[in-house]
Amino acid sequence: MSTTPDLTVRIGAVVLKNPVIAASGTFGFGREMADVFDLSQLGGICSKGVTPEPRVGNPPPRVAETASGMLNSVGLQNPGLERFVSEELPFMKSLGTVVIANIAGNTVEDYQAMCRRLDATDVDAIELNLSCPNVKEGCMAFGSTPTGVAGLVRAVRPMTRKPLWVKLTPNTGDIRETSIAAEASGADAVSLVNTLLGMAIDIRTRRPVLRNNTGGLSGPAIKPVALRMVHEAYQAVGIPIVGMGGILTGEDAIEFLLAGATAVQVGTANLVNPLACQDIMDAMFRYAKEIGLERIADLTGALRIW
Amino acid sequence: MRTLVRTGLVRSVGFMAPGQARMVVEEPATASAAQPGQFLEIDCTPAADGECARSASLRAPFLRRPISFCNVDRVAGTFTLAFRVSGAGTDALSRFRTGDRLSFLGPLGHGFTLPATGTCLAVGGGIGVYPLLHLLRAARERGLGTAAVCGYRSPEEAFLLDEFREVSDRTFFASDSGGLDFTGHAGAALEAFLASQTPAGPVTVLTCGPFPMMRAVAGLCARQGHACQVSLEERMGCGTGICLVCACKVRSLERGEPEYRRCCTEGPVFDAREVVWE
Ligand SMILES: Cc1cc2nc3c(=O)[nH]c(=O)nc-3n(C[C@H](O)[C@H](O)[C@H](O)COP(=O)(O)OP(=O)(O)OC[C@H]3O[C@@H](n4cnc5c(N)ncnc54)[C@H](O)[C@@H]3O)c2cc1C
Ligand SMILES: Cc1cc2nc3c(=O)[nH]c(=O)nc-3n(C[C@H](O)[C@H](O)[C@H](O)COP(=O)(O)O)c2cc1C
Ligand code: FES
Repeated sequence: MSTTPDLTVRIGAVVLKNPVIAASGTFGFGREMADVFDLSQLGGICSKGVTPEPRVGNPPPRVAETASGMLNSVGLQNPGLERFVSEELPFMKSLGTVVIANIAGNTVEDYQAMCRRLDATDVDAIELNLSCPNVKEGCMAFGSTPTGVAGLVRAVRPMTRKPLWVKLTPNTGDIRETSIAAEASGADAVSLVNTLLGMAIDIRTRRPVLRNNTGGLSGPAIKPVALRMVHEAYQAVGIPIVGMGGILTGEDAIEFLLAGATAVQVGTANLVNPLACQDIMDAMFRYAKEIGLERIADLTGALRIW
Repeated sequence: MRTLVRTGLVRSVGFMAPGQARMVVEEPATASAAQPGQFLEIDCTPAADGECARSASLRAPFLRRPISFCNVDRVAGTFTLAFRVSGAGTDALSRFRTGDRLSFLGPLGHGFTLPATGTCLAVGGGIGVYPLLHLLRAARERGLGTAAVCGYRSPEEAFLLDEFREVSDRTFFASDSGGLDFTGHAGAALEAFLASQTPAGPVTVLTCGPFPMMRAVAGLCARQGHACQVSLEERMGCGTGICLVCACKVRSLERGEPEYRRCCTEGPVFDAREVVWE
């Protein structure tokens, strides 16, 4: 007898229909894709990184293609928290899926104020972006050391009852230490990983391709690194892990679950295939059915290490 | 729901001249939806047959490439792409064969806006001439006057001259190295053309080409009081508006402050008065 696999997963108090979340910065606020496929099918949508005030972002060029991936230096272009709350969040909440607000700031006070404001909204969870490599101050500076992560998360925790997901950077010494610091300071989950700091050079002009000189590497190029980091963090913390980095297919997503992720985020894949999330959800469902799996959640950490 | 991801059938691929390729693709829904100045985001990896997930993880070139509609035949359900082979993506694209399947997103972007009356004067430089052919054909179908001013590097690199003659009341071809109607770039050619001609009704200039050329064209239009639309180019990630990498600096006519807008969504065509020419 073949059963219909249960795809729901739990990140603390947040229940997702399935493990697939559209990643921050690669899905806008959902508007552009709302008439492309049924977004209510998604496990969740994570907003573009929002800052206290509007940001215009970095000058172009902001993108460089790499082998199996891309560099970006968008620099957190966004309409600012107030317009996010009044214009984008109600739209996102109308989509019928879990909505995560990704926020970034220059100072501890920025994060505190944003969390206090978001506490009064119906957002389902807050993802603290401690990992953007494209802005000069704050953000990644907090996420690269365990003391930075602990200080920030501890200061922000009392500001909101919303679930706090802490998005960490791979540009760090040991992802286990920053993950442990997040857990010990009250995080409900860790999101691993943001982009790897990189660069590309135009040999004719002898200039970096990106106007910002450096940018964040994403896409399949970073998948092995991201997978290893999820695996390491899974052994170090008890809170759920939201895994990401280079997921293009259902198989890729399942690798992340096996390594220890409870849910995944799909980023760069949306750029080359607007139906990527849908294709990945379908493939995960087929896989679960094929192997007779009752609950997709049973895959989390089911890696059989040598 | 809107169908964004489509697959067309390659009907022919060839070179018009060294390095300048032309591909005809059959996909009726795309052909009937295509507006002048819009573009497609093209997957330059030949479409894999079946569901081979592994090969999907090894896409090369990784990103899709933006290419404009050069010509559209709604009756045949086909459209033509014309492109310069300038790197890995366009090189791979030029190696497609008749019968291959081509994956693309689109039609994408905000294209040219045809005026209600008068003459559409298309000004193109280099590969910027390609989308103007589709534009002029559409203008003529609307009963508007049409004129083309096209600038090329040399007469050997001057393509589609007959096609432009076919859709234009008047043509004026320029080359940097002489041998055509005018010697110099398309901006200078436009000035000479307007000095010698009085097109019917109000003139709307629609331009695509190198940034300095378009700046010269926009400057001339501002001085002479012609409406002007420019098609900007920026590196893209998604083409669909979700990644924000394709920032173009424009100055909103209402707000006056310079701001970044998405070349793929609010553009690629902007009112010349909005563009920050730096
Ligand atoms: C809206 C729009 C419409 C276009 N229409 C046409 C057309 O009809 N015919 C034509 O020949 N060309 C057109 N171009 C330019 C074309 O997109 C580039 O020549 C092409 O992307 C180069 O890819 P490549 O892999 O061959 O070169 P590479 O240099 O190897 O490309 C590397 C990366 O840079 C990007 N890139 C390189 N040059 C450009 C460029 N000039 N503009 C934007 N991105 C670039 C590529 O997309 C890719 O991501 C258009 C560009 C835009 C933005
Ligand atoms: C264009 C672009 C913009 C991004 N913007 C953000 C952002 O605003 N906030 C954030 O936390 N991560 C941002 N990211 C990182 C992604 O959410 C994701 O962590 C990373 O790209 C790795 O996943 P992927 O390989 O599936 O893209 C961005 C990534 C890209 C490619
Ligand atoms: S290319 Fe992604 S928003 Fe324009």
